[in-house]
Parts: sequence; structure tokens; C-alpha cells
Amino acid sequence: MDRERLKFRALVWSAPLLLCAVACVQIYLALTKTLSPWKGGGFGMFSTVDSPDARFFRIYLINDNEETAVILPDSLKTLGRQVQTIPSPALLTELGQRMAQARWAPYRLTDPVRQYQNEQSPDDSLSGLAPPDDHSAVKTLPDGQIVFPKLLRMEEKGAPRIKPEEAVAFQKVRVEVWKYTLDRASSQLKAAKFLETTVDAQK
Amino acid sequence: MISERIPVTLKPVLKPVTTALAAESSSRLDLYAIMTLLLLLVYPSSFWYVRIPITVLCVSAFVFRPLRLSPPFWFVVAMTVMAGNYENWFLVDNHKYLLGYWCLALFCCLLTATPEKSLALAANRLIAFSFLFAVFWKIASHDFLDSTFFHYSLLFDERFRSVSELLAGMKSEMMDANRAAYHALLGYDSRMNAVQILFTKGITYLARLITWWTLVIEVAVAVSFLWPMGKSISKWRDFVLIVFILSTYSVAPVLGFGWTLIIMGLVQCDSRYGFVRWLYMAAFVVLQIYNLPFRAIVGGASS
Repeated sequence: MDRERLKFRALVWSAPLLLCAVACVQIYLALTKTLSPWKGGGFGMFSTVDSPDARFFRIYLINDNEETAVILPDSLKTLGRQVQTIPSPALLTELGQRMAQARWAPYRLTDPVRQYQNEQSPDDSLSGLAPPDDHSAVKTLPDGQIVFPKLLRMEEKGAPRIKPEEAVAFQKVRVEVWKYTLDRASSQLKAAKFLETTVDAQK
Repeated sequence: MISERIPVTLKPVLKPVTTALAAESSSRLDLYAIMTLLLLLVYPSSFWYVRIPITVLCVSAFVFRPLRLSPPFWFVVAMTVMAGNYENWFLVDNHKYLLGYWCLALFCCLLTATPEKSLALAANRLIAFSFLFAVFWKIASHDFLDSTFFHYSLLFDERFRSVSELLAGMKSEMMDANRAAYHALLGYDSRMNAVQILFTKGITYLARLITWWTLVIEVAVAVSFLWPMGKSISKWRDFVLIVFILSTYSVAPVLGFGWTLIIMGLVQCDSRYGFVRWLYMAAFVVLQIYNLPFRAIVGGASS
């Protein structure tokens, strides 16, 4: 009889107790580490501005004294989200290393009609490419491609390959995590740097 | 002679009553299973390795009725949902965790001799604890009680935009200017550390009102569900939960969460008050109405 009652209780309470266990771990991680209260199964959503979205990146490719801001590549968005949810030096370094290992080049837009015509009679479409150190302005190449020297993309699967002559040179990657808060007294949205790492580029 | 006859005549009279009760309980369990399967199908996981197996499992359970009350079936569903949550713990929202626990509860309770009773108890505890932790975070948070969080949400969360414009006097141009300031701060090449934002006095008052309403209603749900069942405040728990659902999701329509709470509320509600079940069903319908694109409809009609 007692054994039956124990079995009944164990079965009824297993899901609620699992909820409590996960929530307690989440509370511990959020209060002692950097976990956002919004995530991790602790039911902290809609309780604070400090959601993963309130933590954002500023990423720079560093070449000598010049810094070029870059956007987090699509292929690193999941890792980026993990960093936003629970930022740590190790995760941030991993993110930086993944970017430092890759090739970067200016974004290009191609007119579809011109691209179709070029593919019918291919020619040297890079003949007018600006050298990597020329960051002066937006350029239009003879084949109709528009190049944005200051807007860089990382080489990723599924995207056009970056040829060695297109790649920009850089020595380091600096990744910063910032966090914003609302200051009602001054009517300002204020951002402050939360974590930073610099990784050497791998040749 | 008569005493010999009584048991013979009573036997067939009693048996159908028991069978009818069991059938009623079974049909109610079937209803809870169907609602959960629909929830899993209508608000699927965003990860293909969870969504596809769950879709196959749900469709199978609609075709083969016995699966719906089969513990191994719910074990597989629970493990699939929870494995997806575990793998993507830093991405998934809290109601996906709750859904995983609910599927686990279905598996566990179907193993008991009285599945409806045990499921009601599990549903009650799941609601109680999830609200207890939600209240904890609202009190522990450094920017909730001073209404900063809702102040921010009213200005920058698109889900609150209609409320800000309708009730707090925010002009569309002010909302757009704030949005532009937000993008200027978060732009990939931004060097700014602060941006100025615009808001009316109404935003301050409304943020304060929503903050305290949220806290009061969530404390009321947590306390009424944690209270021993059938005693004092516990008798009001269903009404409090329905008020929470109707008020909260009118502003922030997280329908998957609302639906999960409605199913669990329905499962644990006192069967003596039949109309409470209808209130839960009505809340379910109202949630769908909240999802209508009111802004587009009003905008379309006025243009």
C-alpha cells in the first residue's frame, strides 16, 4: 500500500520537481554568473530589460592602426546568441577565433542582368577591383558589381568564395559585448561595454 | 430467497455505472491529449530535428487513437521536446520548457492507476511552481519593481506599440524616432554610448500600472495554486488564472504559453464547477481573437 502511494507520488511529482530543479540552476547561474534571466527555464521572462537582445556585439578587424567594424556573420549567429545569453571570456574567445581564422572581403552587389550576361560570356570581372587598402568609397566595377570597401563579409559556406586578391588584410579581431539599460531619469538608452577579447589573426 | 436474488439483480445495475465513469474519465483524458497534440502541431519547435519527429508522432496519434493514451508514446514525445530544449537551452523560451514538463507529466500520470487525478495534481503543481519562479524573478530583478522594464517595453517592444499609442498618447512619429535611436546605438559600426529617447507622461503612468498589475495577478495565481486544494483561496484559482491569461495575452500575445496554461488549467479544474471548463474554452477562443491583426484592420478601414 505504502509502496503504491510512493510510486503514485513519484510519478505525479517528477515533472514539477524537474521544473523546480531546472529553475533553481537557472537562478544560480543568473545571480552568480552572466546568464540572462529571460533564458534557461527559470521563468524570468518579462522581468528585466536584460534579455539576450539587450546584449549586443561590436566587432572590429584591426589592421595596424585602422579598425573596421564588421557584422557578426550568419554562420556564427547561434554561437553569438549563446554569448549574448551567457557571456563568458571562453565563449567570446571562441567567437573571435572563428572570425580570425576566416577570410574577409568587401561586400559586392551584382546586377542580375549583368551577371547573367557575364555568365554567358565570362570575362575578367575583377579587373577593376580596388586594392584592399583602398577604403575610400563605394566602387562600381566595369562588370557592374558595386563594391562596399568598408562593409566586410566573412567567407562562409553557401556564400560566394572570397578570392585571395579580394581578401582584406588584418592582424587582430576584437570582439566586444555591450549591454544597454534604460535610464528613465535622463530619458536615455545607455550602453556600456560588458566583456571584450582580442584574438590574433591566423595566417 | 430475496437475499439470494439481490446480488444477482444488483450486479448488472452497478457495472454500467462504473464503466460509464471510466469511459467519461477516458474521454476527458483523450481530450487533454488531443489539445496537447494540437498545441505541439500549431506552435511547433523552430528546430527541424524536433519539429519533424513531433509532427510525425502527433499525426500518428490522431490516426491511431490508442496512442493518445499510451505512456510510451508520451515518453517519446516528452524526450523529443526536452532533448530539443536541452540542445538549445540558450535559445528556447520558457513555455517550451513548460511544454516539455507537461508531456513528461502526461507520460508519468498515464502510468498511475488514476491518471486523471494524478494529471490534475501534476498540472496544478506545474502552474503553481512556474508562477512562483516568475514572481521570484519579478521581485529579484533590479529593474522591474521600479517599472523600468515595462517603460522600456512600451517604447521598444513592437508587441506593446498599439497599447503605447492608444493608452499612453505616444505618437507614431515618437515611436519611430525611438526606433531610429535604438538602431543608431546598436548599429554594427556605432560608436555611441547613449541615445536620447522620447516618451509621454502617460508612458510613465501606464508602465507603473502594468508593473503592479502583473505582480499582483502573478502573486495571486502562485498563491491560489500553491494553497491546499479545495480550501479558501484555492477555490478561486481558476478564475485568477483565467484573468491572468485574458489580461496578459491581450498585450503580449505569447499564444503558445497561453494555450499551455489553458490545457493545464482545464486538466486541474474542479469537476464540480462545470462552467469553469467552459470559461477555459472561452479563454482559448479569446486568445485566438487577440491574434487578429487589429492594427491592419483598423488601418485598412480608415484608409
